[in-house]
Amino acid sequence: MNFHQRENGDMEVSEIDPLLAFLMVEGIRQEEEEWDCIAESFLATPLAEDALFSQDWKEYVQPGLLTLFKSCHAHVITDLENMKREQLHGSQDRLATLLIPAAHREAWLRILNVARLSLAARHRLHDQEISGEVVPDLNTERGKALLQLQLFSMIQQVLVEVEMQ
Amino acid sequence: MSILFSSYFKLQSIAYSLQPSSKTELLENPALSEERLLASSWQVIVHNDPVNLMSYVTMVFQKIFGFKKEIAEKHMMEVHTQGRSIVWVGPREEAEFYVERLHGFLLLATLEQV
Repeated sequence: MNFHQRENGDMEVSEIDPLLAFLMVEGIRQEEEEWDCIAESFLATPLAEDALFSQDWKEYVQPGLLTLFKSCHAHVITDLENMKREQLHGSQDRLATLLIPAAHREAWLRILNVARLSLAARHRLHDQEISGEVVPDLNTERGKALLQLQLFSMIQQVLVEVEMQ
Repeated sequence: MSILFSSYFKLQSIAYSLQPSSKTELLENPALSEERLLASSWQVIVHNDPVNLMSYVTMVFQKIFGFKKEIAEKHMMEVHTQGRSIVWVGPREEAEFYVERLHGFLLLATLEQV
């Protein structure tokens, strides 16, 4: 997998292994089913002891945040749908190329975070697994989730570096 | 809707014209920070979670508060090692705005009265 930043700021991720391309799409699509859970877990009221404030936060702020995430998710899904798959010379697999437009970078950063938090919560991944100290066993759902988490971390890390240039 | 939230929405309409660096500068200067603490009553606290990348947290602090990289990293390390960091102190409405922005990047942030 290669990362290349174009002059206009777009990021091209090329030679993506078919398995990784599949896991990327699957991991990001899965979030759609979990928006409510995400709202409950990660967008909780910042002042739990104030009941009125918490009610207002849930009623007025959380929906706005969910709309933001859904909009970011739509951008990311569009980019994934535009992912090209081609057979490169000397390779038996159809490797994928993903283009992340500069205008979608922040959406990707947010959604990769949503995906990582969801995976960690759903599979109850522990700290050592999250920090990449464990080699994923791809014969298990947990191992697959771990590989997805590591893949998303790597892409997010590159995007953060580009964003802060 | 509470009075608080009326102000909140007014604040939202002007939120993007705020200059966060003028506020965040206070945490870079202990003397000013002390003055600020006396004059205001709410703090924004970011809590640790094992999932967010350190570089991501640093980036979010820079984006939201306009911190210089070293200051953003100092707060990120505080979150990482001590479990929490006070990243902003000031009036409640603005504190709410910053918490909302932090939640927008899925950082665990809460409000506390000083």
